[in-house]
Amino acid sequence: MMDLYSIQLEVLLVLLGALALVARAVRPGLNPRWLGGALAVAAGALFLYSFTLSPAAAPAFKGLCRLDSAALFFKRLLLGGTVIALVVAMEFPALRSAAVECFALMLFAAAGMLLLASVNDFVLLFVALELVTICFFAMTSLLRQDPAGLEAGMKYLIMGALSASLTIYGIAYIYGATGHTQFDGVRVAMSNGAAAAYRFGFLLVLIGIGFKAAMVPLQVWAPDVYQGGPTPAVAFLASGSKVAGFVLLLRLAAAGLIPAEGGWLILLAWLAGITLLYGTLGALGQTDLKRLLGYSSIAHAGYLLMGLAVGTPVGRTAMACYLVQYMFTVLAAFLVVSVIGTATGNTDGRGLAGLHRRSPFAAFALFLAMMSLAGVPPLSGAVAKFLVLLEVVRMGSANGTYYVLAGVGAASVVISLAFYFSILRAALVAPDNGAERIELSVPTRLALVVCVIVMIGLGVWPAPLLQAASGLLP
Amino acid sequence: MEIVLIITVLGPLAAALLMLLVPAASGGVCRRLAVAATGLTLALTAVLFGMFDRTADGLQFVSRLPWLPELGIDFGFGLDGLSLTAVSLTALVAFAGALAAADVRSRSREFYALYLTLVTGALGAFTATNLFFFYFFAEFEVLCIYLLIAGWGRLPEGGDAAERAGLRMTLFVGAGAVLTLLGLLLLRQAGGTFDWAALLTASRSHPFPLAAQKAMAVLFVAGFGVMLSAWPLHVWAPPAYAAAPTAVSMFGAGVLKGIGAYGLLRIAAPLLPDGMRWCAPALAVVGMINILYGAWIALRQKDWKLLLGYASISHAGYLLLGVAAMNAVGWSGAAFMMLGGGLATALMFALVGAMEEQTGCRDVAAFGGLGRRAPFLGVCTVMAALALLGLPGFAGFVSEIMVVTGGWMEGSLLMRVAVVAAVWGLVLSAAYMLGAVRNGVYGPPDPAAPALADIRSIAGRLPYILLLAVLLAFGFQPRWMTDPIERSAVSVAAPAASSQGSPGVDKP
Repeated sequence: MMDLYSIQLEVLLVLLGALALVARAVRPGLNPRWLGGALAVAAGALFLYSFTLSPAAAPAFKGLCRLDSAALFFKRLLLGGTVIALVVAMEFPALRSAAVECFALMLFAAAGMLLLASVNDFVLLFVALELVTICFFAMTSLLRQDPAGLEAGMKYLIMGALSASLTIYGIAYIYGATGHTQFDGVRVAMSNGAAAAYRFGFLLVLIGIGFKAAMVPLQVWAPDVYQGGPTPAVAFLASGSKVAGFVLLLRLAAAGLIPAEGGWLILLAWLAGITLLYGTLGALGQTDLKRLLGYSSIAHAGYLLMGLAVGTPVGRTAMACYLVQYMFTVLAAFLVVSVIGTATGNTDGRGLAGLHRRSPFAAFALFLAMMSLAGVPPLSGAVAKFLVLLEVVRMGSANGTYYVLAGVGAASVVISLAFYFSILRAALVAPDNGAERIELSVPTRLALVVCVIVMIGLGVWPAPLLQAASGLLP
Repeated sequence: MEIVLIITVLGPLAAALLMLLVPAASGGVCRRLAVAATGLTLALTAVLFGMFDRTADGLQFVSRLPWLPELGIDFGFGLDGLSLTAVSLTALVAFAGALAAADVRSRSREFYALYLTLVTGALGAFTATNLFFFYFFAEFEVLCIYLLIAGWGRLPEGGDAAERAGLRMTLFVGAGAVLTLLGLLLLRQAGGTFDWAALLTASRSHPFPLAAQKAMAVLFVAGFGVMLSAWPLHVWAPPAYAAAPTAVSMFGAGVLKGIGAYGLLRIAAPLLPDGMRWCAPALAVVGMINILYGAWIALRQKDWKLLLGYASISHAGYLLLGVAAMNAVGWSGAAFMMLGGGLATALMFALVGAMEEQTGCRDVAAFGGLGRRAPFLGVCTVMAALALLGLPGFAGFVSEIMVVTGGWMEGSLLMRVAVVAAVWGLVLSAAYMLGAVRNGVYGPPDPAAPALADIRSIAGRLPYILLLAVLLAFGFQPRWMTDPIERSAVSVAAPAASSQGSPGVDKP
């Protein structure tokens, strides 16, 4: 019974998804928008329900997964993100007949993400990772009439398959080197020096997970897929899937599986710096908001990796705080993308022009999201970047590489102002082309309000979040 | 009485939020609200000025609220002589700017909301007791100023030239802010806190390692140098001031530049005495280049706003020189010049803005005979030019004397060369300023010049009269402000001068 207690949220999510599919089979005439709304409400209820759960002391399923306080924290975060992603999907009429499938796939993927937050075994890690990835294979190609969407789906499929094979290959090496797949067993086996085979295997797993997180070297898919894929799928990919990838990395780090010797942390620091620069420089000159968010997502993977690369609990806490605010910031951006994409058919300067008049609230939310992504106070993104940089500079006295990394992070903040401001310029300053007003639907408005509250709230008063996140990941 | 300071700082922001929350607020209502809010800030600043204890060291009216207790970051405000100067400058320019912002016609609700936010940002940076919040507010300015210039600015070139000027400014100032952030992170590492008072104590009892001091001094000098438009990081300034709408160019040239000077005087100079002493020669050289180069370029300008932009670069040189003197006299001079120069620059930008608003052009020569066509504007322009030159009777005079004296007292050959160059810079600035006055105010009226009506209403005249009155008041009674400034400058100056305890004894 304790075993089921640990995975009840995942089970309920899968049941919810199945229910959606059954409802569509039984009542084909059902308005998908209503169904989506009902599913979002149900997921919201699950989110609230998750606050009644308390961490389980012992691992479940003979050590496959554990519902510790960190897992619970991230499950709540991921559930919150799922609710808003469902709102994006229900208000996206282009999905048409595929809408219900999209809802169901989102819920299945969410179950996989929640599972990743509590994974304690490499086998379950692979299964949960693939559950998420395969759902996204289907979601990114849902718009079968749209060549760009299909191309996006294809690119995601190929890169995803590559990452999956790297991951499973790496897991095989880890098992071969240590004789265990459970994290605790692996850690004990490598406690007196990690074998070369283990290190090789771990590197492959890291790269495989890096695909989800859009970090170098498996980052090239992000801009294409973000631009071409259906907006709801991309919104969930950018928020939930990315956060889940980093949560997994956090768990691996907190479990002590990153080899202590051999400059692994420095390797991560280099990866962080390169990822950051790739995303930041690539985003310069992009005019399509979705594509720009793809590069921005790579850049943010770099900042997040910094929190991991310092290898301290404080760094991991900073990363957890970063993830919380990032989830809602990105979702706010995609809510607006979805609104203007639906209303005007494009998401570049033409779609953005005059947004301040056509929908002042959407313009305000986009403004906050861009500023939060850029890291301008008093928004949550600024506090998160500050926490990460603070720890990176602190570790600089131990290894000068971190000073370089902090410098790269600081330089990227400045460069990123250029492209985030170019979006603001298009939406707030550029000449208005006189297009008609955009009315925000009530669910979209509510979701935006939540995101705005999080962005401002965590920026102005971050102490509760930092308290909640510290000590989660020793 | 902390609450007075808190309302002074956060009042404008509250008014901005109020504006955004009232959906039906019209332009006129917003304008009146902005004037009222900045007026309240000015009145409260006067109250603070009166209540300020001129016999006490350290920060006054201090309020603290734990913000991130884990990291030891408190949210709070406090005032000493230096911040009192900066706050007075901000409050005066903000009020005058709100009154002078008649050139804003479109989307005035957004304009005034951003403008008020900008005011709170500057006030917050000047009064934050915790250096994290100094950065927080300073960076916050970057965002507001970009939107204000991009959305409401204009340049003769037309097109998106104003937007590009705004973006260039944002990227430069943003880069400066980030450099100072890195410096602050290193400072926290060395001193263990972001709290300014605690850092000062820590730096006295255990001076930070020299290598770290040097690194931080370089970061701060570069970072604040950008905001102060120090050569060669000045390129953003003239086009941005020229592009900005009147109120914003007043605020940008008058106050935002002050954030750079304030940062050097508040953070770099007192906390990193050895690092800054190491940097001082470079600072003096840059200051000298600023003074001469800015004045030289200004000589050739035909556009009023560009002329003022370069004049403001020349002015920044004196501030740098004052900091480089590394003694209380030089620092006090720099702080007082921040006030006097800032007010005079803001006044000048307001006048040029008013003329451009009516005629749509800002060639100096196009306003020939201004004195006869529009006597009030003409007289104000002459007075403002004299104030900017630092003639006796204006605040600028006293501060120039202090900077030059402080620089001479420092004693090194380089510094004395720089001081001599600074005095020659005054001659150059007399040349460009008086030249502009001759062409732009005196002389026969040009019959082809666009029509120009004088400002007749009391409300319309108020901003100019207010700024001039304050400039004259501090010119005749400089001690009102220099006493508190000197007190705080002496109290933070190098440990050898302080008599509290025996600093450095418990050095390991």
